[in-house]
Amino acid sequence: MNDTTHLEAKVLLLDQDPEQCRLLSEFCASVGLLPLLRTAHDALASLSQHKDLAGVLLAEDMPCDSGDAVALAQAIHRQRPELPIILRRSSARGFSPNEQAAVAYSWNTGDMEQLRSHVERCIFSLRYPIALVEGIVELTLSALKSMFPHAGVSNESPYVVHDRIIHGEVSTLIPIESTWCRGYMMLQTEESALRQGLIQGFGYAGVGGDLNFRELNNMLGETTNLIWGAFKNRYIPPEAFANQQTQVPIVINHAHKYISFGSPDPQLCIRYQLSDAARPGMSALTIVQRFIFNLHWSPEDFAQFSAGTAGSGGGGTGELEFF
Amino acid sequence: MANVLVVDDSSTMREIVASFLTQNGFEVALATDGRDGLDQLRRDPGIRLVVSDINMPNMDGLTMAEKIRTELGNKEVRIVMLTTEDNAVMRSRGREIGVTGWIVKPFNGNAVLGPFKKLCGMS
Repeated sequence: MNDTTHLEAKVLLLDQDPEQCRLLSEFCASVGLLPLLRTAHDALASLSQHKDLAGVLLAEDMPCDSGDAVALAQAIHRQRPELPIILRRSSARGFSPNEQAAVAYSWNTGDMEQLRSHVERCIFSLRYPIALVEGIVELTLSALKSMFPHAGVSNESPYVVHDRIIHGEVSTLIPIESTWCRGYMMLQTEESALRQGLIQGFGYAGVGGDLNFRELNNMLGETTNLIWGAFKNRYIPPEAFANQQTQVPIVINHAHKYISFGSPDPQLCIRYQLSDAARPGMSALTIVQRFIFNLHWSPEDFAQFSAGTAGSGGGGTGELEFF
Repeated sequence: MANVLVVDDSSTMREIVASFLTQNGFEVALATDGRDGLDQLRRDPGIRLVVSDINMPNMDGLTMAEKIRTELGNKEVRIVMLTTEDNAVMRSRGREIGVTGWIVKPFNGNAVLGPFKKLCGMS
């Protein structure tokens, strides 16, 4: 389990020096980076085309239409602050604080060890064991094949991303908790592509009704559930179950502003308005709060609890408590 | 009147299981969670087999199974858990409650058809 896999990662490569491009291509191949070579002109457009990037390799002497490479770095940083930008320095000029914020890492031309260290630190900062990655792929393929028995199912090489861009309109999210990890698993897909696949007959005949968006959400939700179950059975040791509560998939469809917690029960909803007393004509900012007790709700137990704590509430917040 | 009750919060899973069982001669009733499952069982005394998920909102499948045996006092109906859960603690709890069988998802209809027919007295 301790062997770590060398996952791949896509990076935008913005460098026009032929010799440097050659060296960087060799470097990328050696560390598992997949470089997408672009010009300064199409760099920003490339960001919107590639939503699974892990970083940007940028040359300080990159020819730019307007401004310089550092200005380009700032523009990239504004658009996708989660992507680390690694700058190949070709001058000794100092950076302003704003420029420094955009260029998180820089390395001197020719110092490949410095570059390697930055890549290890900011792109491959989490190492995933080979057995885990292979196991995840295996159990996911199995779940996908069982949900979509008439589809050919395959996978691309696993890779790491720093982007936080959602793919498609339908997403599911489920907590993953073990003795060794705590986090979420998310599945994301495009609604139209999922519908098309089901029309083509990927799934079970007659399952999915008229394939409206709720049916599609359910389909992805159940797929999530199968993967989650298989993951749990394989990777969560019994001792981790002690504190574990029941979970159900949360399904989100952005196109329809839809989120499901799996329960048809009414949710407690409270709307708050934040307004500016000095500008009464301005629209208020509305914040909507909802409580969704989808996994357990026992008003009887609450009544008992509140009776037991009557009078003890109302303690001031922000007060210093001495032990 | 149904002879099998399928309890699962996932409509997709309900459809997959129900459509397979219907095609193979079962009369199927559906419930969306444990609470709904209990209600259906109260209403339909012909149900001989309950196929239930565990992780569901409102009432999980094992709690439902326990209530079937205790609150409803129904010791006859067969209860099979169809779940992603595969841990020994849950299985052991299921055994204590009086669960008849345990299937780890995904659902493979052909593998369970014979046993389901037997449990429903159809063979």
